[in-house]
Amino acid sequence: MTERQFLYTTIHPFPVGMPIVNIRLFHHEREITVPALVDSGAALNILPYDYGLELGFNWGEQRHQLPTGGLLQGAEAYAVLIKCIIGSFTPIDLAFAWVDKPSNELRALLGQINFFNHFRVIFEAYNGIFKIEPIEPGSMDGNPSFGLDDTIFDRS
Amino acid sequence: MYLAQIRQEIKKSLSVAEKLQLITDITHMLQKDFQLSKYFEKEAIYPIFTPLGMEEAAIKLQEYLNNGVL
Repeated sequence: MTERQFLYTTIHPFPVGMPIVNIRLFHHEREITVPALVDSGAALNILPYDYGLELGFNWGEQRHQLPTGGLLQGAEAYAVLIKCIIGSFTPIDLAFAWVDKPSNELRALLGQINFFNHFRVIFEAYNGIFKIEPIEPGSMDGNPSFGLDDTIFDRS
Repeated sequence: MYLAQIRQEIKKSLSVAEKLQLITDITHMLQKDFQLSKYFEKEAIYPIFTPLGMEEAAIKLQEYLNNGVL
């Protein structure tokens, strides 16, 4: 599978633009296409509340709660697994934190867990493009399951 | 202080060398302002999307994935 180039999306007032990619999300019989920010600074993938509803998730039925903090302090979030297609790549299961904030307040984000576990990304803002390449199974240098014992996160 | 007052003050209290230095300083200041204006629009709001402080949630999310409960 080869890499694909995507254009930065210009959003006023950013003169350079943002690395936003349209992603297709599937859950049961439903499908939506939404813009998502490729955010290497985000610890995890984020799904705004209304996108989850459009996909048919039921907030009241969620069981896998996630702790929230920082900018999302006070928000509620649940873990959901969603089949996702980016560009023409093979569909992949991405785990999202489904947050009780709408898409006009919170962007859909592709973050470290688990988007960056499956894709190599090169940002070239100076060329107005970013490149995404799926990591072939078995081709990863490190532990594909992202060993939590030697995690980068500081639990102290 | 009004511009006329500043001008008067500069005229009588600064030496030629100091006046030249002042011109250089103001030129640098204007260049810096111009450079910044290429990147930042005055009074525009620049939102930050990255949800900081979600590291614990990320660990939990990975645990759910590892345990196959999603």
